[in-house]
Amino acid sequence: MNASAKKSALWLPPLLAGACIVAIWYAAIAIFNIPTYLLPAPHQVLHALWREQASLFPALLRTGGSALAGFSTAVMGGAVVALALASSRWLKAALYPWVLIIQMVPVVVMVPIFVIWFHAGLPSITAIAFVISFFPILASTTLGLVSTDRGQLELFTVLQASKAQEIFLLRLPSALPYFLSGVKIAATLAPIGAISGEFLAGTTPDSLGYLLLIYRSDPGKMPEVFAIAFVACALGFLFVGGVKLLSWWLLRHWHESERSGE
Amino acid sequence: MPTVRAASVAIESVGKRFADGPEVLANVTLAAQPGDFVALIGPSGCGKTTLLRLLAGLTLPTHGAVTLDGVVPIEARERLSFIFQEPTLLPWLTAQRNVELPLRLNGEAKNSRHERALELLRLVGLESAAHQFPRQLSGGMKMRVSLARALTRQPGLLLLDEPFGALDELTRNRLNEDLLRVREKTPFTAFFVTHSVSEAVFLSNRIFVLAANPGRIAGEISVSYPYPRTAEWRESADYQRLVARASAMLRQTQNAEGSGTPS
Repeated sequence: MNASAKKSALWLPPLLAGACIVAIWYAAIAIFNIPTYLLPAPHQVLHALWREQASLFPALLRTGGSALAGFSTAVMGGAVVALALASSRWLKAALYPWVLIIQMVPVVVMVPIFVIWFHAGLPSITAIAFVISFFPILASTTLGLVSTDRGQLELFTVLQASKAQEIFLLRLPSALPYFLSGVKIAATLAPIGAISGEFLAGTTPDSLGYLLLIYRSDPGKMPEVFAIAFVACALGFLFVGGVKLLSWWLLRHWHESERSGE
Repeated sequence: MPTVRAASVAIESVGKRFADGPEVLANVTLAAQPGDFVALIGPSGCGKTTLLRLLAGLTLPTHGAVTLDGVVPIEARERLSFIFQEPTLLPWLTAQRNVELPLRLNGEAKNSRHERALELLRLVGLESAAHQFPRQLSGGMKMRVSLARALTRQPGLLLLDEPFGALDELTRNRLNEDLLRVREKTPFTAFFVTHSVSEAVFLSNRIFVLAANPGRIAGEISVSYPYPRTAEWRESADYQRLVARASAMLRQTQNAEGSGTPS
């Protein structure tokens, strides 16, 4: 198989499947006579996207900004705290189970707490995106830092490496794939967390979650609600796509998970 | 490389027991002269890997003493290298940078360690793979990189823990020949753990057969055929006779235990 055929084999199936879904979508509306306030047709959703672009686009930036701020501080914070946890057996034993448990707190519960703590608006949304991103990164990075290959550690011992050399030249690079898989999970969660937070708090005008709150109160605005879904997908795709690209670039030479396209 | 001096090794009535486990080694005494190539063979659980780890200071004896040129191994680490069962290469570094690692940890300047790494890769026949990453290399090539890395610090003592056990026979033979060829250029004392009797005969001048439960020395066979040894030697009657003798001794120690072949 040549290179271009290989590439088209990659994007052709999802494209065909997409076309099928749109066809079924139209067929369902026509056959079952589904009204727009239940299921708008694809072209109505596109039309809503176009019509509402003046409010959707700034909302996308606002929500994306909050998600990005929370996400990127979580990436740094998660890595640093993971390093602290991994450097002390006692600290890890004491705190790691709690890290796993705190991850279970749902966004619905976080929202009222954070709104009270950080006041309504941007800070509380950013805080939600932070918390929801922080724990998966922390959990997987910690796991990565303590899963260093025993043989490689012994090699460093025989080679008389210092503690700092062991961390920076061995433990950190071997934890990189774990860290990145945590970051990937966080990248899907951060935009979802931000939108849910905005929707539940209802205090951040010009955001996707807030727009959703407005659209959903009007039965005639079902196409707009679908348009939000579309924009939210795009936002999530941007986050995950960015992280996947970064991960590929960092691991392209050495890790099994990124070894395609060789 | 004139600064290298092969090390002498003394193992004096060494016993080893892990926590409350059984005795792994009991009363092992063995002295190796500079330049000796010592092979350790024996059934699984006879403590041959433990003996190697004692020599590297990766574990400490419960009884007795291990010294390397008169010093305990932990204080003689710059004089020894360990080649593990797995190549233990760092997958995010190229072959060359893996070979450089020991020098990098020593804080040696970039230029001199680049040169040294290339020189060693040439020695093990892998110069062309210098910029490849470990996952692009075959098992045999990875082990060659591991060997080159072990030689960067010009060790007086080279410890090899079944390094070629996972390779096919052809590759293993080739690596055995290369190991001896390298040794002609950089003298070192070697301790080599293996399951393969023929490998032990080909490489070493002294073979120690170990028995299990507890691990102890059951016998020694000396291989007086001179170095350099070449692949052709394997076809000689002399070699075959030595392999047969070592195999017989190994079988006898296992039979003496009465439990057939523990694996």
